[in-house]
Amino acid sequence: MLTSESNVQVATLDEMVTTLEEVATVDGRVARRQRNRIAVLDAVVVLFEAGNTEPAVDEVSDISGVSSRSIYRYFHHRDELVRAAMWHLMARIEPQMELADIGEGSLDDRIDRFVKHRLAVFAVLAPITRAARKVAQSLDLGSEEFEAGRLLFRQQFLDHFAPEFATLEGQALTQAVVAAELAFQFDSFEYLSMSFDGNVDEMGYLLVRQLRILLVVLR
Amino acid sequence: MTSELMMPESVEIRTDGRIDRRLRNRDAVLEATIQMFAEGEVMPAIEDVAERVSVSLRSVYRYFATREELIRAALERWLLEETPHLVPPPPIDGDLADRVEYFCAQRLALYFRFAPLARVALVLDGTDPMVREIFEYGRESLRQQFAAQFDTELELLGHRDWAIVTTAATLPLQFHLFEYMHVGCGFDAAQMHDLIVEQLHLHLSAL
Repeated sequence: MLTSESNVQVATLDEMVTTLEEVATVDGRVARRQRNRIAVLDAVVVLFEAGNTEPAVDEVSDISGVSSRSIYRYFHHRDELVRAAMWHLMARIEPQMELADIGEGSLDDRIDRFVKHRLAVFAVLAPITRAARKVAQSLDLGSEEFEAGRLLFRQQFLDHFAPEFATLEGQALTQAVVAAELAFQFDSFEYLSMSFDGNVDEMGYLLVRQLRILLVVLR
Repeated sequence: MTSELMMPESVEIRTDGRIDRRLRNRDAVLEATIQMFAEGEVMPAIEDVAERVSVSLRSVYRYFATREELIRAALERWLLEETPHLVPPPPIDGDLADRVEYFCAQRLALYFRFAPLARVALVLDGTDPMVREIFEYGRESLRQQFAAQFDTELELLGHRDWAIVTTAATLPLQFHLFEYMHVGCGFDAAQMHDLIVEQLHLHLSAL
């Protein structure tokens, strides 16, 4: 049931993109409007990535070349703008969220690739997640924007390490999966990044070591 | 100079009763807000607080201009009251299993005591300097408590491994992961206890 929910999210995203493309070819004015919208969202993402968690409409306007008045017409308030920017970024990075060759190779090889992948995803998602959290209470980590990503990641994790988890069931399985996923939560990356002054090699070393300790025991 | 200082005092003496009541009411409002925090309310409405202490809404707004001001004032008072309990107890002697058990039980008790407060702080503003300082203090004291309690196991490690092991072993005991287990995954105290005890054993026995 959880998996099907995440599929619904992905489908909606695809639909949105398709609809945008269809609409763009129909009417020049609508096309311009869509171009402007995308320029605005790109600008918000750029500002977030630069560490600006509270971009002013003027700044968004400067970068996107879209007038403040139009920005207000497209997005009624900040919350809406930030949500739209999150969806926009997620759609853009969707290919990067996928883990190649799931479940293939030796345990060490799978652990290595998994850790590298998650570190890369974190690097892309961190700026916007920090910004989004700052903007609104309604965008907490239980919100659907995050929930979709979380479910996708859990499924990926389970598939990638299916041989190791195969021997477990029920409460033991839940406990093992939750334990192994602790280090891969967004805030854990923040904590590790802080602990190692942003040194990605050390973060990777710790995560590989951590997964190996946990997964080898299961065998 | 002396007479200037005397003036306000004499004024105060005359209005003493009113000021007293005012302070008492303000106090009651703050205590009620803290009570609501403790009950799990993260952002109590001023109307609800006023109703609880039977003080008029107008009075509450006279003490606190906005809801945020009230919540911040209550949070600061709560922190002052609770801070002494943040100081970890000294390490105990015993074999590894005993020490792991003691350490985990203590950290879990700390989590349940501080979770409502931490949630209010994070919702109010996770980037606020005061809030950051408290979390920073919490992380640092966890690290120190861990280092002191498992000194025997850690002492042979080089600088790099020491940092890696300390960071990895204290990771599951971070506030956000307790929240993840308890709120996100619905684990109760016993399940959380089992999980962190097992994690700590894995980390320490891998040395």
